[in-house]
Amino acid sequence: MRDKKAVRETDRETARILTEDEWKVDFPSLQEREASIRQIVAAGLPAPRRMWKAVPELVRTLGIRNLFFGVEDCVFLAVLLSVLVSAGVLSFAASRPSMLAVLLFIFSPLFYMALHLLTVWKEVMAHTYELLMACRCSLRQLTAVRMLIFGGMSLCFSMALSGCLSWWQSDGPGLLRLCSISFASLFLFACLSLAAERKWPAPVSCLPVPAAWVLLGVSLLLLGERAEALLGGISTMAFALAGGGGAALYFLMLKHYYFTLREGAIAYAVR
Amino acid sequence: MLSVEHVTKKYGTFTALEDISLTFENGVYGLLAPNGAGKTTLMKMLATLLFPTSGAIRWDGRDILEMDENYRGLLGYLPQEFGYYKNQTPRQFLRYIAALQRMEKKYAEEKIDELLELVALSGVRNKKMRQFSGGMIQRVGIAQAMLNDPKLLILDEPTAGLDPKERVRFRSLIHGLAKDRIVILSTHIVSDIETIASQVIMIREHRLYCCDSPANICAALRGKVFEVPAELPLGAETFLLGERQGGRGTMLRVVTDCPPAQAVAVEPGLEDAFLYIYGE
Repeated sequence: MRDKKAVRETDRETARILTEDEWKVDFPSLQEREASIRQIVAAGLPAPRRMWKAVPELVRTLGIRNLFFGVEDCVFLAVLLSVLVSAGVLSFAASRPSMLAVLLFIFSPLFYMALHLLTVWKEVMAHTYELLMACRCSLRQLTAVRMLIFGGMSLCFSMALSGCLSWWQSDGPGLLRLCSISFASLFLFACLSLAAERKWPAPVSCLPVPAAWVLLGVSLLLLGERAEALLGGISTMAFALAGGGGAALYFLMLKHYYFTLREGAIAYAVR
Repeated sequence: MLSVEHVTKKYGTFTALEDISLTFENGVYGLLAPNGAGKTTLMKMLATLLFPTSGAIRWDGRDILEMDENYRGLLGYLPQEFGYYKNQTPRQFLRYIAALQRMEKKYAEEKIDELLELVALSGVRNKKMRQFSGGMIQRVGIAQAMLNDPKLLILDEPTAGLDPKERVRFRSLIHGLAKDRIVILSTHIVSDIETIASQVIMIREHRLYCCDSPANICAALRGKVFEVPAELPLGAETFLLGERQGGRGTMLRVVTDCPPAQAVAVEPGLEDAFLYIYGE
């Protein structure tokens, strides 16, 4: 009985001491608490991936020279090819002024197509593809930035081509219509290319869309006046919307391409 | 620590690797298997170039695919077919790789000079690589793999194209590097692995056959490997490993449980084990 009473006394004493100790605890300040919460949230939630942040950071890290390292000759060839084909297109347009829209629709993605195909082909032929895919900044990210730059360069090429055709055929469609057709065609091609890259493994994925575009181009040229009439039936606004929508879709798809991890091997096991 | 956990890789209906489980700690691991066994598939999965169909590969408990560029940043990789740009010099090429590895410029310059010296290419650092021999190109490949001071070094057939002197140099280089990192190398040249690998990984019929020290692998054949004169008929239970020219004429190297009277017992090597395991 006396023991129980003694224990109760000790418990009461302990409780009193603990309570006093508790009052002495230094609680974290508001700033410390906020910092801890931020740290926990940052560790638990992955940082949002933003293309507009990642791309400039990558360009700064690599520098323009490294962005096109080893593929400078491909850029030169693409420019040369595009200039030569454009000269051909202009002379053809002079002899067949009624085919202006069809010609522009077919040849607007030429520069983008040539740049992308040649650079990928070079990496595959030089056997650098897999090596660069295993680098911290992978070839996939590098290719995404290159495609973004190619898109911009092709946009300038399309505008130049449209401007030349408009000046050449002063009585033909206006510059706005030609630019709209050109942009719609360019971004349709670019979006289809990215969709193919998403569906099939590289580098095979680079081939189906250019092949299909060549077939489409030949078909449109064979259709001649009927193809021109078909394109003529589509309003400038529709082309402009397709161009603008295509550009927005292109950037979204490029973001997915940049951030999504894909298998980078091109040579598989001996079976 | 790198761990491969029940990894299977299929290409359509073809199974390249099945249920592979391995743990790697600092040291040299040699991957030994005949062509088509799945060596390169495993190497490419470790380099994130291929993804496992099932199972996971983890670095310090984190999935390497989730780690993404953080994992690739601690990786040095030399593919089987090392690619380079012929019109560039080794120095330019290494600068490019350093940029892709997001290395700080000044540190990269120091490291490039150090590595070119190490692989004996400092004299040709500003020469275009189109003039280089296969061995020199392979040395550029080794230098680029070590550029970011990787914690994990994956070398697929690193000694291909190297002459004997270069191979000896390479072995001592790898030996020094493996103290504080994981080095995984695949090769057909058994003597390379025998000399430098602390652990040998063998894949047979697309499954892990063993992961053990060369000594333990060879121990399984101890007392079973003999040399016999070539004129002697071999019994049905005898497995022929090879032949060599000895002082007493041509000698056959065999594995048998019942050696003939003239047989001389010899110490089994890793090459004997390789031939026996894959020839069985």
